[in-house]
Amino acid sequence: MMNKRFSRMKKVCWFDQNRTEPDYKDYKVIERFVTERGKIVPKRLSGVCSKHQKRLATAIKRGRYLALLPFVAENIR
Amino acid sequence: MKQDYEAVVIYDGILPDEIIQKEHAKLEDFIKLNGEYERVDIWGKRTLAYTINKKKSGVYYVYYFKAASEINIANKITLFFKLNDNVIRHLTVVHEIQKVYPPRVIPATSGALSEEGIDDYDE
Repeated sequence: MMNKRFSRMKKVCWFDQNRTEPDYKDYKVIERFVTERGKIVPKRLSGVCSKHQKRLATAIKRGRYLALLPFVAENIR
Repeated sequence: MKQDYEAVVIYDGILPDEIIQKEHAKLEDFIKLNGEYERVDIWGKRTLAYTINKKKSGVYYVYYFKAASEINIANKITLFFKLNDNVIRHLTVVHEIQKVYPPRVIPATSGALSEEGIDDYDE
């Protein structure tokens, strides 16, 4: 039998579920995958699949360059 | 080979509208010279997520166009904006057209397969 302490709900990729691709121009979507400090959330926590995590990382980096997302949160700068 | 491109340009937010319009017209002409100009999305004035050269706001313009991949349009736009103080930031990338996905089909026997998978964790 599987140990109940370690049983978890299977995470589903947000982009697969909503049938979209990460894009740096929809900063409102991308903001969900960034922590309060401005770091990229790892896929083991967010449940995003490998293919989309790679595209998401590029999108976040482009968004940061265009000042749509912060590099570092303002309160710890 | 012709490829789709998109360019995001952030003009200084303090500038009056006439100067931004002039800069916009200049870039439009430049794109028309080097490729096929398609359309522009104007996002308007936004506060920047962080200050860039002590500037707090910018006016966002997104240009969509086609250009030959051999002429390296991204480099040309960088050279075009060199020494231009009215532009805070700009980025030219290949425009990936979003695919239209077919409706999702859920296989009927998915439940039985997943239970078999869990049994592997027994020992």
